[in-house]
Amino acid sequence: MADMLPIELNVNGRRRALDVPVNLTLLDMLRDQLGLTGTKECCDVGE
Amino acid sequence: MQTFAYRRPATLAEAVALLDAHGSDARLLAGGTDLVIGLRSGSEKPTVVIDIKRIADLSPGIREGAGRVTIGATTVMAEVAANSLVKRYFPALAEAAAVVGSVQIRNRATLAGNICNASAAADTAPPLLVYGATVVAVGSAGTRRIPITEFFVESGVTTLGRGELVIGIELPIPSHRTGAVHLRRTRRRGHDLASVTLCCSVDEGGVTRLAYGSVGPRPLLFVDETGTLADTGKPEDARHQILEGMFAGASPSKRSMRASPEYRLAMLRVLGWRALQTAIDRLAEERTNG
Repeated sequence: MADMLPIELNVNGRRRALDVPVNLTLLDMLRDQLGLTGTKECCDVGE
Repeated sequence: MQTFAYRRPATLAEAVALLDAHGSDARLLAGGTDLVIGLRSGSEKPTVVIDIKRIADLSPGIREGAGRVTIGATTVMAEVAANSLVKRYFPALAEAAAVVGSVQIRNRATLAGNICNASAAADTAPPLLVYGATVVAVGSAGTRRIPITEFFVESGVTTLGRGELVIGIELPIPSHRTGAVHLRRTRRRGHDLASVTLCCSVDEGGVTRLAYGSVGPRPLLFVDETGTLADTGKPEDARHQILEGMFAGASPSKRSMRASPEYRLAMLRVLGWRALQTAIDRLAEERTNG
């Protein structure tokens, strides 16, 4: 289990306070935790 | 994604202590544009990731002083590309920083990270070689200044020691008027890694410097101090011979998916000549503009 980190951020004008695993990407947090699936995964492999 | 511990030191001393304690099990996070890809794919397996973005001494910035310009370790590519000092003294570095990755990448990726990742295809490496950059590193033994020509070993490997981290990159302000350019060849326009990446400068003293990457395990620098390459009045044969000698350092891999060795060598010659001519033209413009 990954360590957790409390974070605060502003998403679309709304303040959010969340506990997130330290290995969670912003992309996955937006899509999976906040349900904002408008943000898409791109090539992901850096080539 | 795999699990790892995350540390966010507030001071350089704390970061050095963490690096010392964890050695090769630690990875530094600045922009993360290379690291996160490695963490996802599993090619990087650190037990601890050390985020250096909150270290006060490493706050982003580009400063001039003592005859040089220093670019802080957390300075991102977008800032390097847009900075007035970089554009004035080191325009080919600004050009290179402006073509790394995409807008999103350039807003995140750092110049220091680009060289510490030591990709042979790093676009900022050739201009840093041409401009005679020095890498400033800090470790438990103190500060070390490493000429960029002694920094790259092979892809992913630098001469940084255990526990050392880069705190900045210094560039000496050219003493002569200089014309320089960065050029590269990619498979498609925009977001791509280079099949050949190259920088050439010609100065008023007649010195020509050529550096190239993505055609061997590490980026290389070649210098012509005879004044022959810089002088279009010299015989074509003599200039051709010197430039061919510089291209002879290339040893592109057969295994890369981006381009065949034959293609890379052919493009290296085309871009090398083109860059030399452009550098000469730009030096002439510098002279005209006084």
